Amino acid sequence: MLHGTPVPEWVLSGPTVDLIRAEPNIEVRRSAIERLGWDAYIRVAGMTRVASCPDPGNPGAELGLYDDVLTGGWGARRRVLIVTNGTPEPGGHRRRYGIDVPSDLDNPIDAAAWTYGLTGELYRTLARRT
Amino acid sequence: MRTTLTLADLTARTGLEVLGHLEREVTIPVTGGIQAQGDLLVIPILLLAAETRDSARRTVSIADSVRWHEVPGTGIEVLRAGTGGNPHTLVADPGTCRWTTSVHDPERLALGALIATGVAYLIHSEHGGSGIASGTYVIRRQRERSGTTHRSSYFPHAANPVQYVVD
Repeated sequence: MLHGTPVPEWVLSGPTVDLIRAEPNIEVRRSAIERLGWDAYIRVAGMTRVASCPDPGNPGAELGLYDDVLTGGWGARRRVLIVTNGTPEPGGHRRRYGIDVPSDLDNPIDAAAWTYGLTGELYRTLARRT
Repeated sequence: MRTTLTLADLTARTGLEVLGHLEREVTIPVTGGIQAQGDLLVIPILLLAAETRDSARRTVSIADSVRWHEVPGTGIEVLRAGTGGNPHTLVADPGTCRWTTSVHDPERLALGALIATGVAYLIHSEHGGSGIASGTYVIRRQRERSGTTHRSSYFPHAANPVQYVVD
């Protein structure tokens, strides 16, 4: 367990970019990335920012869309939307999550909307996120 | 329920617990618009219908013969805890809210739909409370793309696998 989240042993003993990329559970990925630090993870993974914008209904938070080109020479690319929780943790910080989205989405609003099956136009009207 | 409940009021009335650091004395905002609570989204059903009206896409629908369940004062867990997540519980005054899971959603994201004649609330231990104005809404889960580098998806044999976000 790590801060109340059940995690596999590798999260505690040696989180790596490859292990994090291969992990299907978003909470486990978040826990592992937080062990490294988000900025360090983005740097080590070689992720590049495609676009960013304010997150509707989530004051002070940003939606960040990133490209994550996989190593190994075959050029596969993931597109990852980094989002921020609407509710702070006990220490005051807010958790961030990296959500895999379709690689043809270039707008962070459209990417966030896709995660809920909406259009970007509707997602822009989001009133509140907790 | 009234529109001026605090999180302290809500936890006292329902017996549901939330984490101790959440602000308990501020009135929970009530909205008739779209709102998110972690990995769930509450959407007025009319917005979903309007969104698909002018396109060839199928829309979310609820059959006329669907069975609705009264939401008791103790609430209904619309998404139960599991694989690291915590439950999202729908609560309302008895007789003011009904819930069904029989929703056809082409996106396969709907957990269900609610009809509220008064204010209903969604409670989560980490996210606190979300106030829902009277109306008809669909509650959807959040998804992410599957089948890239991840080892599995929740419906690996489906034509278009859906991998749900669980926080």
